[in-house]
Formats: sequence, C-alpha cells, structure tokens
Amino acid sequence: MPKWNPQFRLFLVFVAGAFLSSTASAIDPVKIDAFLDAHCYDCHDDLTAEAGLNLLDVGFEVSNPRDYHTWSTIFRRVSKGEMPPKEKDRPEAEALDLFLAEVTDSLIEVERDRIASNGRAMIRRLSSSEYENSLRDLLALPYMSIKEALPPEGSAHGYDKSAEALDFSHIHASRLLEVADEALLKAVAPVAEKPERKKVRFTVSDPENIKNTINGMYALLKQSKAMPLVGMEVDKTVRLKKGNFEKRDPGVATDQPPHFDSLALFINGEFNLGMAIRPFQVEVPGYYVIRVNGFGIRNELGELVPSDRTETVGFYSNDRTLGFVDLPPYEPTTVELRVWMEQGDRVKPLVASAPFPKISLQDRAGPGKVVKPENYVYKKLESYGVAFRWFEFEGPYYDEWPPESHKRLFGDLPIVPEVIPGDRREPDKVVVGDIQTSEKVEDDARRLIRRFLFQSLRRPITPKDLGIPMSVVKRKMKQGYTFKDSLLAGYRAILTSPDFLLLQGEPGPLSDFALAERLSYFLWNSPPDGALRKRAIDGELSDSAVMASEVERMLKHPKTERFAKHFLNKWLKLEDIALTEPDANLYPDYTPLLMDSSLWESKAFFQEMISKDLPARNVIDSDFVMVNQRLAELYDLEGVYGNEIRRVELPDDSVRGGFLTQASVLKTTANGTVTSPVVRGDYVQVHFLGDPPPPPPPAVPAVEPDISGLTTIRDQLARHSEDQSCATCHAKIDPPGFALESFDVMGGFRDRYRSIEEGDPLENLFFEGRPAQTKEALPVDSAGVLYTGGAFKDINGFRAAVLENEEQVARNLLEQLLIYSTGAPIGFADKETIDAMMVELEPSEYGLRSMIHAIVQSPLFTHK
Amino acid sequence: MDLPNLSLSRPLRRRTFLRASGACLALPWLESLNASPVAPKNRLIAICTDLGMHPGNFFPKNTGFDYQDSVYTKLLSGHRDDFTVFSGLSHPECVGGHQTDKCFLTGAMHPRKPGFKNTVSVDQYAAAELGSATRFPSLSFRVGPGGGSLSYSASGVRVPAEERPSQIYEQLFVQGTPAEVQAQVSRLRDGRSLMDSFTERVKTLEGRVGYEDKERLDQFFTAFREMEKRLEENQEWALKPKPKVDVKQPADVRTPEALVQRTRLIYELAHLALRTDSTRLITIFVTQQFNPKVDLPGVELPHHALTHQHAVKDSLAQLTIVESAQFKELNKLLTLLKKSPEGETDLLRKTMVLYGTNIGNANNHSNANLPTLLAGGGFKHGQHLNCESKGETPLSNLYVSMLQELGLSPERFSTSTGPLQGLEQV
Repeated sequence: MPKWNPQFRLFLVFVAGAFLSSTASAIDPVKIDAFLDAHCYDCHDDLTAEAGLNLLDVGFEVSNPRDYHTWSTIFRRVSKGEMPPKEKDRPEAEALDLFLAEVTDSLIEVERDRIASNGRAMIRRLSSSEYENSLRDLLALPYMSIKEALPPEGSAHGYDKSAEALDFSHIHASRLLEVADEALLKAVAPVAEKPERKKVRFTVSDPENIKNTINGMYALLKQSKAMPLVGMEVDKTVRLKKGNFEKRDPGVATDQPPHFDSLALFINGEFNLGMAIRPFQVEVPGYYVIRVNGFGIRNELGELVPSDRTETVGFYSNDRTLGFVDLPPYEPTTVELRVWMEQGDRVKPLVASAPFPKISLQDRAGPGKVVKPENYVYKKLESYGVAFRWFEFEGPYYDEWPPESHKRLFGDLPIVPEVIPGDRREPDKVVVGDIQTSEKVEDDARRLIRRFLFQSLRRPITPKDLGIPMSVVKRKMKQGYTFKDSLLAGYRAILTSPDFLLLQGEPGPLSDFALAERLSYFLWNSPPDGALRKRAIDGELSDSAVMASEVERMLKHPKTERFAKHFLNKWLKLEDIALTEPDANLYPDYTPLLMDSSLWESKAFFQEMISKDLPARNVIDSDFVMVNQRLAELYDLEGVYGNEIRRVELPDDSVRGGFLTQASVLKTTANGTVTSPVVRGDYVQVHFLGDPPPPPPPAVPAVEPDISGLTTIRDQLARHSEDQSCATCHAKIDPPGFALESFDVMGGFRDRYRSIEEGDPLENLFFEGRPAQTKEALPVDSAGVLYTGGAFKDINGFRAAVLENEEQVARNLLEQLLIYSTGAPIGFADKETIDAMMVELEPSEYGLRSMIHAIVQSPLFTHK
Repeated sequence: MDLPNLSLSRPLRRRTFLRASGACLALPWLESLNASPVAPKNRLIAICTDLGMHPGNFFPKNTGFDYQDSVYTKLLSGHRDDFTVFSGLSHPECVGGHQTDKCFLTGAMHPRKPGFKNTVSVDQYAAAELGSATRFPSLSFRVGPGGGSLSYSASGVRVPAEERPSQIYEQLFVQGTPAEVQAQVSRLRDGRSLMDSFTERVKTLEGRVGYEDKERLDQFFTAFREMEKRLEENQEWALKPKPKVDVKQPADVRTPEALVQRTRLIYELAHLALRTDSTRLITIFVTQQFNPKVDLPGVELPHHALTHQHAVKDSLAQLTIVESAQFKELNKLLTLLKKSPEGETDLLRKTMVLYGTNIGNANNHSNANLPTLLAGGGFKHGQHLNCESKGETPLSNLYVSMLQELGLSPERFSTSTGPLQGLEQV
C-alpha cells in the first residue's frame, strides 16, 4: 500500500489551513492521522474503498453536511468496536480515546453552531393525525375522520414529528382546502330543527322476517350455514330449497310453526353476503344506540352443547368498525353499544369471536332441489357462535340543538331554515339555509371570526390576524354568498393558514405558547385545551412546578390514548401490523378480533406504564398483562371473560410480560406464514435496545424460512453463518430473534413449528369448523448467546440477560420519547443532557411517568 | 442514537426480509412529484371485467414473441404487435373472490377484512399529477348496474362511475352553466387568499429563523404557487367552450342482456373523450355479477353461472361465445384508436389500454394469475410475457411501468416491487 498518498493530502490540508482561519468545527487532521494510518487506510483508501468509504475523499470540515454524516458514522462504528473489524488488530485504548475525542468534539461543535442559529428542531407543520385531532377538538367533532383524506406522511428518525418527515406539496395544499371545507360543513347542524329520536327493531324470526331486511342472514339460512333455534332447541321445521343460478332462481327457506326465534351464526367475515340490516340507514349523523338480544352457543355437529365462553359481536359500517358487545352463553341477553354514526351508515353484525370468516362446506343438494336435513351444513360444524334474536337502533341522541359543533361556528345566532324538496322516495328535508344576523352583519362576522381565531390559534391573537379571514368573508358576501357560507370561507382561511398549520418556535427558549403547543402535541397528539392555554396566557408554564402539575393533569385525561396509540404505531411500527394476514391453512385460528385485541393490549399497557410510573424494564418484562378473553386464550390464562381489556397478573413461570412478547409485536415482526429470527432480531436491536445492527451487504440473498416442515430456520441460518463474512453481523442480529422463535406469527407460544406437509396432526385445531389439516413438525430451539455475552436457554433467560443492562432499555425509551416530543434526532451535543437525565431518573428505576416529567423540563424540550 | 448505517457513497440495496420489518409502504404523493418536464401526453384506458376470463381460452400456450394465439388473442390478431399478454401477475394479499374488484386498480390488501378501507387507484394517482392538463382530470365509467367503480380517491373513497352513455356525452360535449363557471372562479380566489396569508406570515417569520427553516418555508411557498397554477388552468377550462363532435347524444341501452351494445357505447365514448383530449385517464368497470343472460345466439345460460365451469358442464362453448364477443368489442376499440391520428403517430400509440380482470379463475373464485393484457402506448409489444419468478409478480409492477409511461416516476405503487421486468419501452 503506497503511503505517500494520504500524507500528500495532509500536506495540502496544511497549506490550505495556513491561509484560512482555523475553525473549531474542523477535525484536526494531524491529531488523527496516525490512527487512520494504522487502522483505516488499509481498507478505506481510493484503491479499495470498502463499503464505499474512501477516507481520502472525506473532508475534515465537519460543518459540511456530507462530511458530518460520514464522520458521525465513523464515530459510531469505531466507538462500538465494530471498526476496525474483529479480525484486525485492536487499537490501543489510549489512541482510540484520543481519536474518538477529536472526532466527537468537532461533531459537537458543529451541532452547537447549528442549534444556535436554527434550533435543534426545524420548523414544521402539523402532521395529518395532529391536524385531524386539532379539527376534532376545535369543532367538537370527536369522531370525525379526515386523516385518510390527506396524503400519507413520511417518516424521519422513526416518527412523523419532524420537518424532514412532513413535506408539503401542491397536492397537500389543495387537499387541505378540501378537507377543511368538509370538516366545517360537518360542524354545521345537519338539519334545522332538533331531529326526532326514533327507535326501530328487527326481529330474527321466521324466514319472511329477514328475507328483505337482513339479506345476509337469510342467505346463510338458505345455505344451512346458520342454525335456526326455537328457544334453546334446534328448529326442525325449517325446509330449504336450493336456488338455481342458471335459471336465476334464488331458492327459498320456509318454516312451519313454531317459527324459529333466533338464528345462530358462526362466521366473523362478511364476504359477499350483504350482512347490513337494510331498512335502517342513518339520516342525521349523531350518537345512536345499537341494541342486540341474543346469546352465545357451542355447536357440535348440530347439537347444542355447554359453553364457558363469552361471545363477542362486532358491528361494522361500510368502511369501519363501529364497536363490539359481549353476549353470555345460553342466556338471552340484551346489550347495547352507543356509537357515533355518519349519514348513510348501515349496520352489519358479525360474530367477531367466531374462529373463521366463512364456511366453504356445501349442502350437496343439486340446483333447484330440496336440501336433505341430514346434509345441513351446520350439522357438520364444531364451533362457537351467536344466536341473534333481535336488533334495535335508537337515535340520534342530542342534548341540545343546534349541537355544540354548530355553536362553535355561529354562537347563538338563530338558524334560517331552508326546505330541500324531497321526491317519491324521500320526504322534504329542512336544513340550515343561512344564519340570522343582527343588523350589523359585519360586526357579527368580526365577533365570530375573532372568537374562532382565539379558539384555533395556539398563540395570542392580534388585530392583524383578522385581516385575511375578514377580507375573505367580505368578498364572499359581496359576491352574493349567504352569511353562513361566507363565514365558513373565512374559517377555512384560518384552518389553512400558516399560524394554524405551522408549529411555533424561534431559535432559543420556547415561549409559553410554543411550550404549551409542544406539550399537548406530545402528551395528547392534539392542540392545547382551554386550561393549558390559560397557563400560557398567564405566563406560568416556564415555572417548573406549574409545568409538572399540567403534565399530571394531562396524563390523567383520556386524550393520552391518542399519544399511546400514535407513539406505539411509530416506535414499535404497530401501524404495519395488518400488512400481512396469517395463512389460513397454517393459522386457521387467527381472527381479525385477535389482531384488534393485540393493539388494544399494547395501548393499554403503555397507559398502565404511565399511570403507575412503571420502570422502563417493563418494556422487556412485566409481571402482568393487559388482556381480554381472546388474548387470555392465546396467552393460556384462565378466568378472563369478555372483550374488555383488563390487568391480569401473570404466574411466575409465564413466558409473557413486556412489549417484547405481546401479540401485536410478534405479529408485526412476522409475515403471514413464518417468522424469521433475522427480522425479529433486527427489530429488537433497533426498537427495544436502540442498537441497530449494520445493514446487510448488497446482493446476498435473504434466508427464507421453509414451511414444508423439513428444515428449521435455525438450521438454515447456521449454514448461512458458516460464511465468516455473514457470521459477525448475524451474531449480533439473530440471538434476540432466536429467543422469540418460541412465538408464532400470531403471537401464540409454540414448542414445535406448524407445517402443512410434514409432522403430526394438531388436535383441537379447526379449519372452518372442521378438524384442520395443519401439522406440528420440528421442535423450536430458542436458546442463544447475546453478542454482548450472556447465554440464554429460552425467552425468560433472554429477558434476564437483556435486563442485566436495564439502563440500555431505559435509555432507548428515553431517546425515543425525546425524538417523538421534540421532532429532532438525538445528536452528539445532546449526550451530556441525556446522561444527566439518566442519573436523575435512576431513583425512579426509569419510571415512564418520571421520564415524561424529566423530558418536558429538560432544555432539549424547552428550547426549539 | 438514530444515525444511518454505513452507506457512504454506494447506495445499499435493502433486502426484502428487512423490508418486512420496517415501514416501507409507498408514499404515493411525495414520490410522484417529479413529473418529467415535457409531458408525453400519454393516455390510459383501464378496463376490468368482473367475471374473469376463461384461462384456457385466454393464455397462449407458449411465451415469448413467437407465441401461438389463444382463442381470445386470435380475435385481436390484427393488432398483434400492439399488445402484450401477461401471465403470472396478481395482487399480493388480495384474496376475496368477487370482492377484489375494488382492488383491481388499487392493489389494496385484505378486502375481506371487516371494516376494510381502500387505497388510491392508479388512475386517480395519475390524475392528481396530470389532471389539470385536460378538462376532466379523469373519467370513470361502468358497463352494468350497481354502484361499482374501479376508481378510488387518495383517501380510498369510491369515485362514482357513470353508467349512462347519454350523461357521459352531456358531460363531455354539452356546455356548462354560468354557475358552474362561477364556482370554479371562486375556488381560484380562495386558493389565492390562502397563498397571500402564507406570504405575509412567512415574511414576518423570515427575519427570525435560521437558513434551514427558511428552506422549509420555501417549500410551502412553492406548493401554493403550484396549486395556484393548477387552479388557474382549471378556471381556463371552465371558461373554454367544450369540443364539438359530429356524433349525436346516444340513447341509453340498459337492458341487462345487451352486454355487447352497452360495452360498445361506452368504448366509443371513451374513444371520443380521448380524441377530443377531454381527459387522458379513463376507467371502465364491466360488471356482470348480477348474472344476466347475455343476448347472443347460442347462449342459453346466464353469464355468471357460465363462468363456473365446474358446476355447469358442457357449457364452455357458451362462455366462449360471450367472452369472444367482449374481445371483439375490445378489438374495435383498439381499431378506433389506431385509426385516429395523433401528432405524427396514431392514438393507440399514445394510449395504453389495460384489459384485465380481478378473477384469475372464476371456477373457484381464485385471485391468482390474473388474465391481463396491455395494448398501446410506447412499449415493445407483441409477446406473451410470463412474469412468474419465485411466485407471482405484483400486478402493481405493471402499474408502475404504466405510470412511468404517463410521465410520472413513482418508485412504487401500492404493493409493487418495481417496474415490470421484461416489458420494454420502444
């Protein structure tokens, strides 16, 4: 290796340096050259440039962003001991420290300069979910969904909380206008007069009753996939005649008295059945009560047998889940769900707790023929189900009229009704035509605009703020628009203005208003409420005692749920949980309700950690879980009934505890059929330990697990790691994944892998109500050795090994929360502050609520 | 610490198994922003028939440029060099029999899940970028009753499809009212006032922020300027008279049996819409799920029943009659486009016609190996391309290639893994 090359370059740097004033933000090449020469140039010069790094091409002026990036990476890899690579000579400790100090000092210097002129975080707009929550709170429409109508957000440093993640294009601009318009229109009272509350009931008895109301149930009855019941007995008098598709004959179901008085269903999916209860459709949006009367059953080959489960009914509209209710077994019970419904919504009931989405089995009758009762499909099934007796809908519920959302826009000004003529199908409708003003129209407008500005802007308002919205209102009125429409246009100008869209903050300490804003988008993912704003107006937030009491108040508010959900979506990538669906042949026991429940669990667990100030080690291990019946079944815990999530203490030998083994995490890190220790290991290193492994080298094929049941992923990986170049990294990546091999793609515990070819039959596993063909094949090996040392035999051994270094888990959680709350990545200049916070947090054992308190009081949070 | 890993100058290709662990779904809007400066003025007609196409009649037996015609490709043989037949394409994680029609152009996963929400369709994705070049950013048509549509907005909301030829004609060629024009003008004004408010605010901010923040604020400026430009274009459209054509407003044929006539009317209007450059993006959903008996000699059984060939024995001939009639209409559409001059070439060369179905095999409602063909546009056509390699290729890969042909450069669309390998530009 010719040595003159780097030295010649050094010489040039000296010459240049002589003419330029030296800056603190440059690495001094003299101080590190010996180190580079001894340990780096061999592989990273212009001849070899391994991993694309040619150190001769890297400048020492770290204020240049590219060089900054390069030196940060060099620092990180060298300080972790990943470079120079293991097979090379280790640097002397002293030389290493000097090298690292020189690099890091310069990096810190550059960062401090940047922070002084720009602040740690860049100016950013609200994210789509923050915008949604802001409009929900501002307009008193808590269920309004608008996020989906905005372009999806990017991600930077793991979150959508920083400028780099929140770009703004003309598509955002025009979408924003549309969304603001729609939101404002939803806030206007949907009809002029308080709508009358109505109650309608649909009874599930007699084929004639359901034929034209609940088409899906009638179809299931005709296909004998629903079981008609008279009381607690199977109805023997139902006769079915099969349809003939070729003759376009739909077939028919008839029933001699006594008519069935309930119909039991066994499916959690709709397919193309049309399960909506047709005659009920929401005309006026609002709260409605959905009531259902029915009971859970256990069907074993056409016989009703005792059940010890509570069943869960899911109600769905056309595009979302409305909610769930529980029904006990064999005890006709009325339960209700109070839910916000939108205009045009219909309700589809399904048995969410049923284990399969559809029944493929047929009744064997030919087209147009009568179906023989012994061939009824429900007589071939073994499954839980729900017998439905009746449904009732009541609403809308309004305490006041016009509703709160309307008053936020128009105060107490009276409504001017307007009749929209109906037609043959629909009666006349009386809507809000306009708003009755006083004689001083402009004064009314100004008063309302000022009030709206005060509610919506997260800072003090000035007379100047009225300029643009008022000019919009006046222009619209001049053009002949109604007062109502003109005012809405003025409001829209506010909701799309930079003051509403952009977060405040100038370099240096944040103002009380900017602080209030940062605090509420952190703890609620929503704008400040009246109480917090009051603190800002009174200038009290810079007082640390006031700040602490506000944090306590806010963390007790239900809006913390928005924080928990959003943070977990990003930190643990739980928003990706539904990217794959477990293969129905391998996992016939997977249900959408299980996936929903697993997300509820994680959210509730995070909230429990906050409210009880639980130590950060609970991320890896806890002595309790937050579960409902479905999760308790998966986790093998007894005595948990119903869909509600509750805290359950774990037995000492349980394999559960912490986010680590929650079904949501295990599902998110798997694909539909298999798990990979590489994927899960990487996930644990990145998200739980904050120690990401280096990325894979290019053009090496991925190791794909095999589902034939002949080889295990561990055997495959062992072969992969025979290659020395793979072994180094995999020693770091794989071990956490090995520990998690004990959990399948749904989060269930396993000691043998499932297979569809080789292996022994699995008992008590059903596919669409019939014994499943799924097999149990090779045994799982969940032992391993952490790359930091520490051998483990199984998941609990792994937990213990990881928690040897509890501080690492805590520090990662702290850093993640800092990134999330401030919108800036963790830099070299932040290390000192974070070290101090860790010391401060030690007595609380790094409790989550203590951590939140420490964050909001730290200069990283209180400065831009 | 969240620093990127060593990726100093050579970009490292991330591997598929790591992709599964991170959030790497496409960000459709941001990625499509770099439309090429010279718009190629290419068009798209996307057609989906919802009862599948009999695979045995559709797929040629051998692949490559010298493939032997199948029963159906033979009906298009006059255009053999103007289309490509694909096999081995499907939407990953998109299973659900007939319910997948709504995902045909979106590729959204798990349509059967209760509370399923759709994602943007390929035409609407393109319309957001290219739309204002024509009077209608996009048009959605349907042959058959019901409320179905192939087009879904960015928020996954169904864009209603028009079924009545008379209404389509009116929209395209009958002049708008002054009120409609006024509404457009008003929208532009509103957009401008939004920009004013940003200008003012940014001015007050600028003195007090660092250079990084100034750059961010600039991004807002650019976005609003761009939006204003588009609103201006839309206003011009509202003021401009609609094109005149020497075709009379058609009468609507809505009898269920008249599949052939209904298809033809919609295809002819699609051609007219493109010829007059009223739009460059059209979707046509051909829906026959309601099981009508098609009015053709030799056909005795209803259409949907016929497609279940395992249940209806000895009726393949009847199904072939129905589907052949559909291919003959497609052939006519291709001929109409071919005969229409467009610049120095013909309209077919500038129009991609995607003809496909959400059902791979109607017999068992499979959604695998979807019969798909693409005619027209600037591709090197004339082959049967088998896209299968280690499993099927996402149909969205073809959509990425099509979006590129439209002048957009998305890295991904929906579940795509890249542009479609083997389909080359001329």
